[in-house]
Amino acid sequence: MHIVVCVKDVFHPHDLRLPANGQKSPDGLRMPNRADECAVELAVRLRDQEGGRVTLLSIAPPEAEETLESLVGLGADALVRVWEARLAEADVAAVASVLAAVMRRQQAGLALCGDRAVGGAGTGLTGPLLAEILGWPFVGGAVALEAGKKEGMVVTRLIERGDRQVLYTPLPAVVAVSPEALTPGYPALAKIRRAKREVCGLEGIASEAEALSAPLPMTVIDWAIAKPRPRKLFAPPSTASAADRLKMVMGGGMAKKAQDSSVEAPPEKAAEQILQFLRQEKLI
Amino acid sequence: MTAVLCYAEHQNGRLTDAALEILGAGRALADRARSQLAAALFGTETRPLIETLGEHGADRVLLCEEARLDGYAPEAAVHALADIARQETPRAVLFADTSHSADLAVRLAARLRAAFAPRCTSLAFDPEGRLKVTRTAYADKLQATVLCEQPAPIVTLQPGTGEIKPARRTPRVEERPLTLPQEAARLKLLQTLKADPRTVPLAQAEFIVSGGNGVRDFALLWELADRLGASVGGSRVVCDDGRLPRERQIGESGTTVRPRCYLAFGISGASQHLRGMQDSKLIIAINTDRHAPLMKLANMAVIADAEAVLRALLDQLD
Repeated sequence: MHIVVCVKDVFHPHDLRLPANGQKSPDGLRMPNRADECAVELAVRLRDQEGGRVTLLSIAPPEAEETLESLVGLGADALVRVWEARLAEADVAAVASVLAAVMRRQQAGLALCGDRAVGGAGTGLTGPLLAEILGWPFVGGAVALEAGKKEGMVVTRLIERGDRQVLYTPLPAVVAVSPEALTPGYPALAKIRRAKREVCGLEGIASEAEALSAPLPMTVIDWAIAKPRPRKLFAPPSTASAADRLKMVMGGGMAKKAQDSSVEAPPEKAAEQILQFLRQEKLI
Repeated sequence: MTAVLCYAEHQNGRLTDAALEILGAGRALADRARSQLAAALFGTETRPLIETLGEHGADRVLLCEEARLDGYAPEAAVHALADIARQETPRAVLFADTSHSADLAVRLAARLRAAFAPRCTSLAFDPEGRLKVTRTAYADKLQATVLCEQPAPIVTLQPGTGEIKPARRTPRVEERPLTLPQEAARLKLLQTLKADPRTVPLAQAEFIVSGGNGVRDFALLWELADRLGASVGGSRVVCDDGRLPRERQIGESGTTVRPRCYLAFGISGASQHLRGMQDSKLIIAINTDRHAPLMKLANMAVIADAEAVLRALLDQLD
């Protein structure tokens, strides 16, 4: 099976510059997107088990090459970088349409991507848009991949509280990988040297990528440094005694004092009551 | 009249808190725009929820009672939502930022090629009636103000952005049949795996048993946690002297947790510890000192020797 992994470079959160006049998006030090690294690692492991090959696909300017090489070093067989000056202005819908066109040309059997760019705009739309354009099923938040018994793919998806859903999807499919999937390995020089590289423009795929001219109906009108959300300040109730107020402030300013019950009993009795309470709350 | 549309997420026959928050935000938005609030309610046996939706401000409930929409069925749900969005041309579509709702939101945005703003912190309409949102991006370091235009701008809201507020209405119920062909849903949910409480990250744990300086023998605590299906945590003191590994430390210099239940043995509750666990839903504290700060915060305060209670609990669970 030919696994194509869409990768991109993002900006390091500690080195971000707000867009100056005329720029559309922030700038900064480039690094690989963590979720994409996880996707590459999962793809390589799947290839090692089931055979096939792994191609990385990126729409990125030459400046991104260094970070892309570190992704190649995780064990991909080839890297395809698509770039043309007009892609600098492309929004997520245009990017997805170009990715879809290359996917078709590469005859991908499985498309992987990160489920959102942690140091990017982070809408997480690339995967779902790609799936819509190709007409393939989509699974997001994947943490594990396994070939199905006869055909298709079994994908484990992370949901709340560490719980996971195991889903079956027929192939071809688009799977977006969670940045929490695993700890990616280190890039190896031997792997970087072995991989094939291809740099191409939009010729031959431009006609398919018509959506380049149809961006999603949204515009960022202002960028700012994110401010932490204000926390509610605690003021001890004026009805409490001075000693109590002092204690409340010393205790970290805990506002609520929702004592439902207080128990003073020998350990056995206390334990009974605790268990009763837990049962009542359906915790056991 | 075009309306603000909310997706009513529910679980085990109840609307989730996240969904109620979304309704609160939707109600506030609809009030300011003088439009109606519609809620999309999917799945069988959901009729009892209509009243709750009304109590939280829904003017209309768009009901799709269909077994194919029960549980995790993103393809069918997105098909139904896309149908609704095309018919209603809503001014905004609001989703909670939970794994279930956010997954639907992003799929719907891709299907409709609509504007999509995840994890928003504020919402408003500008004078021309376009939706203006602020959201964090670039690893939450930057904040973007985004102008979203028709069709149907889709947003998910960070928890805490909306307020759960009663707003009594009697919603009009409109049935929307599902038009999705049977074979079009390709994904199949094989099973749901519960997290193992021993290995789940503390920040995500649902039930935490934690110990402080009032506990000497932590083997007892681990045993109790295993019996109760809970995760183990501790205060800084016990992590400092090695009774628990560092990653089990709860508090400002450790992990901030918000489990459904926090069972604390022999933790007095320094303010740094309290700030790391005060959002727990239920707190049970066991301590000999009735004036300890954590005892004041607890829903159930047990004045007794922590280790003795620990042993008694293990005996009674046998």
